[in-house]
Amino acid sequence: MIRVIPTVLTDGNLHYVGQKFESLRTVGSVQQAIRLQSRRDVDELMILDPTASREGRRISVGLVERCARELRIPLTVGGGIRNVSDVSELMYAGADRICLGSWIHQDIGLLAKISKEIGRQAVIVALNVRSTAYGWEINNDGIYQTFDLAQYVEKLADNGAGEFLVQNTDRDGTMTGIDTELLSLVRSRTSVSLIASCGLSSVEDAVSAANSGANAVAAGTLFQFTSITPDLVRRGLNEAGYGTRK
Amino acid sequence: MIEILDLGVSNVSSVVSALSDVSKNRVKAVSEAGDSRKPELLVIPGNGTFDSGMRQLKLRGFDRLILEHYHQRQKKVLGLCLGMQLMGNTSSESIGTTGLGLVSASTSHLQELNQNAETVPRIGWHEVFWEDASVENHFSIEKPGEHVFFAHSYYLELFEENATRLLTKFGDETYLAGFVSGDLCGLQFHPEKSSFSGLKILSEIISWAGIEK
Repeated sequence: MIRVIPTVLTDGNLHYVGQKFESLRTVGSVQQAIRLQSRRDVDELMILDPTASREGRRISVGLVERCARELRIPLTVGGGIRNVSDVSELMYAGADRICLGSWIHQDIGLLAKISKEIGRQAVIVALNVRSTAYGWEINNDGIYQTFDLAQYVEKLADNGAGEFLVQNTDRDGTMTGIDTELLSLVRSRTSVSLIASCGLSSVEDAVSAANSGANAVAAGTLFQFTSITPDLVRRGLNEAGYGTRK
Repeated sequence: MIEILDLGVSNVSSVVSALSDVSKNRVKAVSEAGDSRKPELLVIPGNGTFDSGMRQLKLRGFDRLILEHYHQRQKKVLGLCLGMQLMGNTSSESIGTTGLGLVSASTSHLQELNQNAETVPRIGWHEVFWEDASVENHFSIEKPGEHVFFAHSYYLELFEENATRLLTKFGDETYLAGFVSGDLCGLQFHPEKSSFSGLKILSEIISWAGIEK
């Protein structure tokens, strides 16, 4: 059973698309982006504020409230979440699951605390990584540092990660294909659920991601700007033998 | 009136919105027992752990409220996800914590049921079906099976003989996706997050509860 998830990047007002985690381009209002995806009756919606930490804010609670009022599908939100009370406020506003990034990478104890409070099933950890000649590097608020990917994945899983958002940052916004090598590597180290993201370019790509161990595929650029819809991806996955909703 | 118990961590607003979609009745979230106004249906939502759930129920006086609502006023209770699990006696998620005991039931980890079936936590849309499709099952599930949204690691084992059971497949095994037993109804999945399928099920539960739509 593979889930297909549109991702919407925002600062709370505007809808952005990213490019290799280096720049963000404004493409419209976030309400419109959300409306488009929710009208498609997708499996889940993910709303992320990628520069929240850097810019000293957190994913907009007001936006989460407005979305939750209308959405009847699961909502995942992330961006600048730094403590348990942030999490409580967002869940209370209507988020079903939260995505954690930079603050977890600085303090893994926080992951354990949050997971204990809201349950693993509601906790996603973003792995924003890229491959270099020196090995894997993790992106933490725009700064890359080398790290032991395999070991870190295991540590995060042990500390309460319920799912990983696996993103090769170099493919962000490029539609050049999901990094299946990265996916396979993470899959080999953990049985935790994986969402493949960054670079989704086609239905075949989604099938490759599933073949490499993904439990879900997420895309921003593809679902906003091309004629490939989440439904088409679901159908393609079905044809390849994977269960999907509907 | 339908009241939803606000445990402080749960996503109450979605449950309120979804129930408001399917019922003209007043749907309200209450944060503590004193705010309750003798509803027709009490809803225990749930996100979090067995331990944190019971802690919040006790803190807010909801444990006493639920027992009074169910035993004395003989009104209906709906438990959603963790809410359903809290209706039982124990959970391997939180050894030493006692549940509400409304039904004879215990909660165990999905990996104990089938280690290799799927990744756990189980997050995704799955089909549900009545254990016995031939009996009168309180609310209907469409054929082919409805897909509804699950997000959990623990499942409930119900020991009540007269309950009707809703099931979901997990590899070669099945486990409880929901049940109806007297004035109690529990759902392991999130109907408020299951799009049209979920709203339809909620609408049928409203009828079961004898509440005007």
